[in-house]
Amino acid sequence: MSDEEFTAFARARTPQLYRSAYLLCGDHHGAADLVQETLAKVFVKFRRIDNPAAYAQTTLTRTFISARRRRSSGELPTADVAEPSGPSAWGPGRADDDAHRTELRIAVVDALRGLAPADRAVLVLRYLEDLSVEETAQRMGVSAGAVRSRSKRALERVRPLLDGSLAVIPEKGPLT
Amino acid sequence: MNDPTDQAGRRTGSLLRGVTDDLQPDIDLLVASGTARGRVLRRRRRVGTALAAVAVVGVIGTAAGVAPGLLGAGGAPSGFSAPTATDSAEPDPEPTEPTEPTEPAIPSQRELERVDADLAVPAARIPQVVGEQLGGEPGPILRDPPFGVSDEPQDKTVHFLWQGTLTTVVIERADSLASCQAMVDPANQPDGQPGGECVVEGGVLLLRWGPDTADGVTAQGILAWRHGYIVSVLSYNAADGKDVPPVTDVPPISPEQLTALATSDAWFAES
Repeated sequence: MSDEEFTAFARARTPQLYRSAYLLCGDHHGAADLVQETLAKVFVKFRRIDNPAAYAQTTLTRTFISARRRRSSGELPTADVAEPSGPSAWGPGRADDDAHRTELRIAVVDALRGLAPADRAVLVLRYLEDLSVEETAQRMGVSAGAVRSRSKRALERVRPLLDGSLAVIPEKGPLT
Repeated sequence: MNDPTDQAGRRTGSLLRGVTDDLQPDIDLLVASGTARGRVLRRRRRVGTALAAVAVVGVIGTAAGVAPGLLGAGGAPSGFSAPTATDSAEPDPEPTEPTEPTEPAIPSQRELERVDADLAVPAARIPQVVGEQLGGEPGPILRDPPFGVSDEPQDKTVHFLWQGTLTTVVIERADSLASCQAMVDPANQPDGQPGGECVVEGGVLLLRWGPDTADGVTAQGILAWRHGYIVSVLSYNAADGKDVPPVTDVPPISPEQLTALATSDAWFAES
């Protein structure tokens, strides 16, 4: 495959990779760096991999966990997940409010920061990427049992954000 | 799908998609930068592989001098030609894999993940245990963000100062983390180089890494797989993990001391 084919692949996959990276890293700078690192590694192997999309997602996840782990960046689960100020704050009346979406995004990122990096990765793979337990385990290089226990724990930590927020955050395409 | 966990999972998926689907990264910039970094990585791997091959040639050349009969009349194995250390247009070589010891064998993953002991030391006492083992007085525990203490029954994390430098001890269940091989896999490292080496010493699987310098700080660490847990001990040469002036030339806890700490029985009680 040519570099042009890689470029076409990268352009198509980068938005999704960036979404995952943003939730993992919690900021745009870290997300951009992680996506670039991932694309670099995929570029090196592009001609030899059967499923570049899956390979890219696996690379992104493992690069994130590996970097966090080896440098022991000091990240620790926080004791509590900050709860939204109440269902009314994210009530139905603000469904199309981009400011509300931004506010909610910040709350989600804060909540994810309270999770251990591997828990965060499980959450992103299982629920953003919609992968099965087994697929998530394979992508992370851990057992299915570990994914189940981490999923459960991670869901518990984000549960305060679910009440009163999801009904009012319709998914939509990129803003133009 | 009335399982509460399923419901929470679906709602979480909607939440995560809802807050990210309008993100607008600069696709052109990311792809261009990623491709550029990929070219550098590929070039580095080509050169690294070629240099490794040259080293093999050197060994074979030496052997030929000692025992030319082993290599045939030409002084080199049949079909072998010395590569050159250039960035050729040859297909990408596979990145070199970390060297795995063949003897003794790495225990099975099932064996490594079988929890057969309890953690015996509260997180707040870990620095004291380190002090007792190394002979010295630990500095304060770092409790403020981004540091902090985790003191769960099967999960201990503590950051503290040792001779004025950041020291981290983490004990976690092995089944919640990647395998040693995955952790050192070059494909999982930011620089594409092996992330350390997996070795077995005294029947204990160890991951040794470092010293590595990043963000102006040098660090080294040992991970030991014991009793179904991974004990990680990291030593830095500065009071923080990045962007601070070094306190010492090298991390003050040597690899041998890190190994002794990571493989200590002090962390465990029989379950």
